[in-house]
Amino acid sequence: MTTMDCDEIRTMLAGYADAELAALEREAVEAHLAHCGRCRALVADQKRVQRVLESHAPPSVPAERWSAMSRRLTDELAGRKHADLVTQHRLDSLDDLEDESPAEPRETRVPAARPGPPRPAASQGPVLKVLGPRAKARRPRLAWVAHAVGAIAAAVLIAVGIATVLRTTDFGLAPDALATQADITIHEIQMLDPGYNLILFAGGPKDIAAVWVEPIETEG
Amino acid sequence: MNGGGEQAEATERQAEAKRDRALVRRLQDGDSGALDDLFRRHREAAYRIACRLLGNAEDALDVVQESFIHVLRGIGSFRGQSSFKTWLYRIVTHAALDWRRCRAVRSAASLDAESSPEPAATGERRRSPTDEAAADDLKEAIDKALMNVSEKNRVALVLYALEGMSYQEVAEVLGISIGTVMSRIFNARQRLRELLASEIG
Amino acid sequence: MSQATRWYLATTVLLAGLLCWLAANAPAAETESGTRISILAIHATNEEKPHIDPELKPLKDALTRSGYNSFRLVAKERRAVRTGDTWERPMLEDYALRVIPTEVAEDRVTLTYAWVHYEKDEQGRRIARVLQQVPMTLIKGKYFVSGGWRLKKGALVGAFAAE
Repeated sequence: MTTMDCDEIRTMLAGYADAELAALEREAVEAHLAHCGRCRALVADQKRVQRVLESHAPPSVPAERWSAMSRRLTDELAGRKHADLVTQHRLDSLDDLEDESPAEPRETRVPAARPGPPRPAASQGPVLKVLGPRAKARRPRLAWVAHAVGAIAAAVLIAVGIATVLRTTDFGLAPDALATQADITIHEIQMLDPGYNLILFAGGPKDIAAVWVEPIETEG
Repeated sequence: MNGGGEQAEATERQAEAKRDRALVRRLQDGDSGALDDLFRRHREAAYRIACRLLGNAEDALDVVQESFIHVLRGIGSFRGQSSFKTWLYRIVTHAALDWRRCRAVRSAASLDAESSPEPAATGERRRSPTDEAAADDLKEAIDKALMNVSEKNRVALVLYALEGMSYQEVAEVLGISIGTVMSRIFNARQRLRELLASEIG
Repeated sequence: MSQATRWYLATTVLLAGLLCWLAANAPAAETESGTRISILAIHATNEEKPHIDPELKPLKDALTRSGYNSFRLVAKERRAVRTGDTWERPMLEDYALRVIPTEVAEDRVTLTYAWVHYEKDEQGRRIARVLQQVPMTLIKGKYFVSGGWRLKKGALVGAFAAE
């Protein structure tokens, strides 16, 4: 392994100071620190700042503040449960009224040309008038399902067609992030063209931010 | 941190996550006892994150409350892909950062000269009833300095400074790579070193 | 057109639109094992008045290290590539960039990229000569830059990212 320079070592220093590096990386850093006073000083800084930060605890919170907050949260939880129960009750009562629908002819928004199930007999007219639209939408179930299936099938066919076109089209991803050294791990580089030199930017043997080639100038 | 210590910590974390999972399930069923337990277990950590990100204890408590309410709202659809702790820390972090931005908008809109949300070199830190009576100069300096670290770097450092957090866990909360965590923490601490040169020598 | 047909048509169009949008934007990993790769072909030159295409501004740091001062985006393409498949994207002047994703994780992709140059061999047949081959792991959503291949004028630089 080639010795690493300060730039490459730099961002591993935090990991070294916190003992979060794997054995291989730790050894690489140690090898560098053996002869680099500047980086040793950086490690000492990192450790010192961490100690200072950890020793400074935020102000303690009085127990009453926590209890008050706890009560508020319990209320919130209870409120949600209540809301859920009310909604459920409403839905239940809708189902009850569902079966009693008027026989009067009414203008439907639902497509006419389909075989609907036999309409139940009417009774509670006024109540149903209020709930009318919803009740109407739920009733011819079979026909609605057939309708939906047809629409989905057609949609899928169209979608597949268009999507195939879209997927291979050049609609670019705007570059909004350049990978940093930490985002890239190079496992191995094979330079097969002898006419070029390899230049690696900002990295140890593994974490590299950019790979460049430089043509070897031949004389004559 | 040697091998043995790491092992013990990992086991501890797993046991904690398991307990949290059971509590989350009970909470999803509406058990308020589970809510109490989860709150008691995680409120301090949430408070520390918020306090270090905002530099102010009162705001931090507001953010903690907001975060737990957010948890209640989302607990129904929480599927446990991450641990509860990771999820909560993510919520608190975003809530704290949004809090600062909202304050910035609010005070700009109302031309409020009282609070300046931007890191001000000479801005006074707001006192709150929960602060220790005797202001620790170093504590103040640290809070002020933290506010002068760039947001991304500050968040990584604040999370890591919590007890028992590892780079891996910080990476999970923030959704970034460990290498990025490492460089952000490095930069944050370098900046603090510069800003606190007179205090810590 | 009767009410029924209108409703039918509206639903179909809406559903088709939704499905198209999903198909175009859903990560490839959800439907098949793979990832979306974006490749940029960039022409780097040295000019009196340095210029960088606005779309390339975020990559400026890495690009300027090449020693060139002007960069133009020549081509960009984004495509879903299945794990194990090779996507060879032609670049400038007989150069091409191959990207082969080998492993897709939640936040990163392990892939191999290779620069190839098309030339004629002794028999005059067109062959692809591999210049550089690199297995690597890249965090999703971030562009990796490589290049510096000398062209008649300036150099060719490539950048790619995975989602």
